Amino acid sequence: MTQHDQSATQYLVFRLGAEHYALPLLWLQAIERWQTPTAVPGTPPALLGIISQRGTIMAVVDVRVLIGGSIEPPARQTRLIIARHGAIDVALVVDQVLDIEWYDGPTTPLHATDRSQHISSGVVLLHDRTVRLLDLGAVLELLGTTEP
Amino acid sequence: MSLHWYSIRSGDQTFLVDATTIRGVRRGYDAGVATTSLHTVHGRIPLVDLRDMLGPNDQPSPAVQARYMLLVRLVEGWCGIVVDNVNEITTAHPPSPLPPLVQQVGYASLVNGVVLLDDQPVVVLDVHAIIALHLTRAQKTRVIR
Repeated sequence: MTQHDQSATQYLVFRLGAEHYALPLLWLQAIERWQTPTAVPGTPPALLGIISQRGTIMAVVDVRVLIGGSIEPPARQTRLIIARHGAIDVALVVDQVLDIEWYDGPTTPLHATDRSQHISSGVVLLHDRTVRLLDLGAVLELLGTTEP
Repeated sequence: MSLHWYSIRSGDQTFLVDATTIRGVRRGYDAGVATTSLHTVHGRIPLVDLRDMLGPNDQPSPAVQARYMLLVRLVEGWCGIVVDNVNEITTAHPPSPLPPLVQQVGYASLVNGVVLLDDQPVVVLDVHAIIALHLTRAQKTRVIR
């Protein structure tokens, strides 16, 4: 087993379009296969609907749509990342779950031209690949400001 | 405690409505030229098309004659809600509230909650809230004209 600095954090790394993102493992509840959500009238396009996850009903959020991208049909590798922020459980649609990584290095602020910089707390270099750190609180906040 | 629900379809979605709020179901109603109101035994009543109220969806609108009208008794008068299909009357537990995240961003006022049927969430519509919103919009349209 590899030894890691006590300040290191474990991240779940996943792909969203052409970009790689990382979510602190502390927020992760489960990873599930795609299931078609039940749409709720009058919600923004990024909120695809609701699902029941072992009896808990939660919102399904397409982060790609939230930052200005288009809705893509689910593929074989599409997954739902079940995450918890405070008391809120949410399922995030991702294109592919890659791996789990430790990281304790520096974080560089993200300078993007699209809305993705609103949901990222910075960029890190993991095994020579640039990974954006997903700020789940910012995702939920951005969703709250989106027009239905 | 179990409640009775009408399972209805609008576009590509299935919803539930409280069966006690529905006084009748009419199939293939004669909408004539105007589809905003309909002559019934209760007089001329306003019609609310659920497709218009709940936004666009991927399914093409079926022929008017093939659709259904749910008759709803209001405090003053009657109203018809036009849906694409009435599937069945089902029994289920009272609805659970929508997740907080959904309540924050949507028209939560049009929805009474969610019911799990075979572990699949089905949205419960508040027909009175939908009618109220429709009548408010219609009134605004008349004022603008």
